[in-house]
Amino acid sequence: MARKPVLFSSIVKPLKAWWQKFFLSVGIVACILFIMLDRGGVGYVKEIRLGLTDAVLPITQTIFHPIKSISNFVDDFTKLSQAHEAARALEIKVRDLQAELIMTQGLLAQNKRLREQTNFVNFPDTKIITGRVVTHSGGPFVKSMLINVGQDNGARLGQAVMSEFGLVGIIVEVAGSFSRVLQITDINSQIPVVTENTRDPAIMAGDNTSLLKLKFMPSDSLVAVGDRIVTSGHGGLLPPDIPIGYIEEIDGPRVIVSSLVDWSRLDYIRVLDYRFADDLSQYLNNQSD
Amino acid sequence: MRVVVSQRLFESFKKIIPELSILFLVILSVQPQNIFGNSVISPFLCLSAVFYWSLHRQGRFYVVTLIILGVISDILIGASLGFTPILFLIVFAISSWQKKNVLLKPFHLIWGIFSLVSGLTFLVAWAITSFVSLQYAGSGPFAIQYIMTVISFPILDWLLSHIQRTAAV
Repeated sequence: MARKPVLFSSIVKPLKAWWQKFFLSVGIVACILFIMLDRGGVGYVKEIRLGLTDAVLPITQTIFHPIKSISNFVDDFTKLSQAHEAARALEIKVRDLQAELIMTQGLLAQNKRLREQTNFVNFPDTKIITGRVVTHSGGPFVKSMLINVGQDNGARLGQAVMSEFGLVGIIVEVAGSFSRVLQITDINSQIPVVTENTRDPAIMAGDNTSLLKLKFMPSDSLVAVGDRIVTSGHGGLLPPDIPIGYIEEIDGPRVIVSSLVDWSRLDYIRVLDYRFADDLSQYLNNQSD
Repeated sequence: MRVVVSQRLFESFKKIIPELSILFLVILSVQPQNIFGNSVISPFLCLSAVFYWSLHRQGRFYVVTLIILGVISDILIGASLGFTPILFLIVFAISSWQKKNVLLKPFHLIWGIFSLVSGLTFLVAWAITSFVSLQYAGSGPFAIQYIMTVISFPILDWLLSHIQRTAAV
C-alpha cells in the first residue's frame, strides 16, 4: 500500500497557528510588563513615550487637518443664520460688562490703596502662555490632553493650565513642542483647595467622571451648595485663588463639585507660568544641597 | 507600466484598509471637539473595529500591528503604554478563536457576542485602571462607554462592511 504524500501545508499550518498563539501570549505579557514599568516611573519608558508622542502627533494633526477645516466651515455656515441675534445679545452683554468694569476699576483702586496701607506682600505676577488643545481623551480610562505649548514656549512640569473660566489641570509631561496635561477630573489628580467664602482647606480629587470630590474637609465646615472652590496655593506649586468649580451636592461627608470648565468645548487653554513655584523649588534644592 | 504600478499600490492599500480604519478611529476618538458633540465620553469605536476585522478580513491581523495601533492610542489618550494593546489583543484572541462558529451566524447573534466580548474587555480595562491608580475606579463611566460602544456597533458594522464590499478587502 502506497503511503499518502505529506503535504507541506499540513506541517506549516499548525506551526503557524501555534506561532500566532505564542506571539499573542508574549504580546499580552509584554503589555503587562510595560504598564508596570510605566507606572513605576522608569525613566527610559517616559523617554520612549515622549519620543513616540513627538513622532505621532504631527501625523495625526496632518490627517485630521482637512476634516477639521471642513467641519469648521460647515459649523460657521450653520451659525451664520443666527449671527444677527448673536450680535444683538453681545451688544447687550457688552453694555452690562462696561457697567461692571467701572465698578471693578473702583474696587481695584481701593484694593491697591488698602494693600499699600497694610504693606501687603503679594505673590509674584503670573505670566500667561496661550495655546490650543491638540488631543483630548474621550474615554473613562484616563483624563488627559495634549496641548501645543511645549518647553520651547516656556512650559514646565507642574504648571497650571486654565480654560477661560477655571482650572483644567496640571502639566505632567513636557516635550519641545507639546505638553501633556493631567485633567483635574482624572483619578490620579489631587489638588489643595479652599472654599472661597469660609476658607476651609480640602483636597480636590477626580474620579474619571466630569464631577470632582472634596476630600479631608474639616468636620465643622460650614460649606453650602453653590459655594465656589478655588486653589489654596498650599505647597507653592499652583497660584492661589484660581477658580475650579461650585459645590453641587453635599451628602454628609461626601461633597461633590462641578467644574467650571466646559470639557466638551475645550479648545483654547492658558498655561500659567507661576514664578513663585520656580523660586520655591530653587530654594528647596539649595537647602537640600 | 504606470497602470501596473498604480494597480499594485491600490492592491497594497486595500490590504491595509483594516489597519487604516482602526488608526482613523483611534485619531477620531481623541479630537478635542469630536463628532459626538457635547458628550464627555464617546464610544470605544476602535474596539468595535478590531472585533469586526478579526472576524471578517481575509487573512489575519498581525499581533504586532495591533500592538502598534494600541500604543498609538495610549500615546494620544495618555494611558500607560500597553493598556490599549491588551484590550485589542483580548478582543482579537477571542474573536479569532471563535471565528468559524460566529461568522455565519445572523447579525443579532454577532452583536450579542460582541456585547459579551466587549463587556469582558471593559472589565479588564476597569481592573487595570484601578490597579494603575492604586484605588477603586468608579465603574459608572466604564458602564456608560460600554453601553455606547455596544449601541454604536451596528452602525460601525454597516459602515465597515460597506467599505469591505466596495474595496473587496
